[in-house]
Amino acid sequence: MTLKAYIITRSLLALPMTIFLLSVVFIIVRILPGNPIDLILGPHATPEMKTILAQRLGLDIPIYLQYLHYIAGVFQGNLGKSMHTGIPISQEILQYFPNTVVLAVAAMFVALAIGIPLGVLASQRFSKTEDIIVRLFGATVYVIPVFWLGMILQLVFGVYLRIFPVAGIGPLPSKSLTGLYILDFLLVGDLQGFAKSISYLVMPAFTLGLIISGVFMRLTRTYMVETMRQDYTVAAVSRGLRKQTIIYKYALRNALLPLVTMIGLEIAGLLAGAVLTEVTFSWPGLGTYLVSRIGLRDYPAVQGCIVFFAVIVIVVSFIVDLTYAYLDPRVRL
Amino acid sequence: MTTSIRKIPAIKRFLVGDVAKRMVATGIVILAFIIGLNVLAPYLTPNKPTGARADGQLFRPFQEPSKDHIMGTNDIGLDIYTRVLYGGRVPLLVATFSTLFALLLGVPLGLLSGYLGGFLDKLISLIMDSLFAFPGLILAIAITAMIGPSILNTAAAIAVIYVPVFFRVVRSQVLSIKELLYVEAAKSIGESTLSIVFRYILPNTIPGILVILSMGFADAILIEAGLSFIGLSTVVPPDASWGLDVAIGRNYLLSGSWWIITFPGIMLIFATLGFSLISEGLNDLMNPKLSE
Repeated sequence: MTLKAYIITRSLLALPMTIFLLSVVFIIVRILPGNPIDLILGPHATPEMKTILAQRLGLDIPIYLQYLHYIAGVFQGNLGKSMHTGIPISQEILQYFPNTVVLAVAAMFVALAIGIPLGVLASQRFSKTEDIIVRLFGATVYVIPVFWLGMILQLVFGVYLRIFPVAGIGPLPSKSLTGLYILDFLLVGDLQGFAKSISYLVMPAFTLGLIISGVFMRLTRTYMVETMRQDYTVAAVSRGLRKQTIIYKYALRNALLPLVTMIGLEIAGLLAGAVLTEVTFSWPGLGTYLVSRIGLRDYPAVQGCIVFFAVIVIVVSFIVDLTYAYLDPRVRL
Repeated sequence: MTTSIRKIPAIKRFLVGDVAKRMVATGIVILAFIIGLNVLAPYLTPNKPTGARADGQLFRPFQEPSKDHIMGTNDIGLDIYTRVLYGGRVPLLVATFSTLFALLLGVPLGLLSGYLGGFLDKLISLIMDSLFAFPGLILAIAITAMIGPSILNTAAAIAVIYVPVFFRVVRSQVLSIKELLYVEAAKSIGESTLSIVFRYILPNTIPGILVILSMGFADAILIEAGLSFIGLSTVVPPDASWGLDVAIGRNYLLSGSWWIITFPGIMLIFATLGFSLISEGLNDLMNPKLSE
């Protein structure tokens, strides 16, 4: 199969996946027990109030029409209006989302910076003490509740030592150019503001990054052990190349390929972890938005937010598959 | 040169195999300890399960750990040590129900889908892959927010995440098992499809299921705690639950009341670590490829 044909087949697969996930969200919000109208109005609402709210939310038409309206709306980028602010939800989401991206990218950087070197170390000291310690470390960070780790760091570095700000995102740049505030600081040349916003970013990024670093550590170890057994590595050894050259130029390079796919697959885990990290650090991202709207019973916003997460996951998995197909032609067979 | 490219001697192989067994054993000991604490709680503390005094009165709030209250007291004057002892019941119960639900749905679907193949298999796989790709916690948040948290509701919400995990593992195992000779033999003596799937194939997938089962327990405990943290707690104060207590402690971080979050958090980590060590160890024992 050519790359072009693969892209077409893969796109055709993305469509039913999208429709399915959108349907899941619809089932959760509209069909599961727990009617939003009752939840919003409480037990003492009159039937008139219920009718008016149902009309406002578009819940007064037959369920299959609601479903069709909803699917059509999503494909047009229309997620409805927030009940709390009256602003279109897509607009609100796009305002919060860049902050989540900043946090997620920084956390991914931390995770790779911790995970890859530790994984390489473990593979080089395979089944020795270092290997066992690194593996234990990986198993332990995976089981620490991310919000708990965040709070302990807040206590130690924010409350007691006062090295980093306890919570928040810090000052924002004077002008918003790209939406990504960290980039904007650099673009307007405000280095002081940039440094300040980094100090706010350190703890949330480290918290989330440390938790997911275990996955990368484990994978790097596995792939490195495998590539170090390959003939070309053995050949490099027999040619008398330096150990460092063999590890970094021969083995790690090849071990990184499957890692690239893993980064894509970890996006889902990263987003989930980001929700809790954002709430812990009062970080004004999509997770904080979602949780605050759950508290306000702003159901259209909750639904819109979940739909947005679903779309991100589908888009990312699409990109990952294409990248992999490009890098490794065997996938296209 | 490094040992990893040389053939590893038998003694090393034994050592690595031993690590896996030790992991499982450590995990079991941790769990026995945690479950023991929860079961024996009434004998380990004179206080009520909520952490109040036996006569129902409260203690002085915000007490630092001391001889009277080895883990301190919380914001309304409940003994944290007592709450830590009793606080595992809710997460463990939720985890048990959620993995059970997921198992009962995911395993039969995986068995049938993998064995029958064809269009049905493609359809179920697509659905399961889509669910699997979605961030589990966010799905659980959405479901719990809509149906309201309770032990069974929260368990159901978490189960939705794990159905595709069971499905995928079982299905991929069935795909290789169904080609084996003994399955062929069962077919030739006229066994029915259901009998082949459940009596001949299912037993061989059990080790894989056990790995996922204990991983599911670990994740369910973490997710239940996460839901508690964002305000979708399974129980409400003054009932005790580790996740809920960590969430409550968040409000008093700035005043430096470290003990309110620290102890329930450590219990969460221990319980999760126990399950994940078992899962990891079992996985190593089953796939000795990396330990050769």
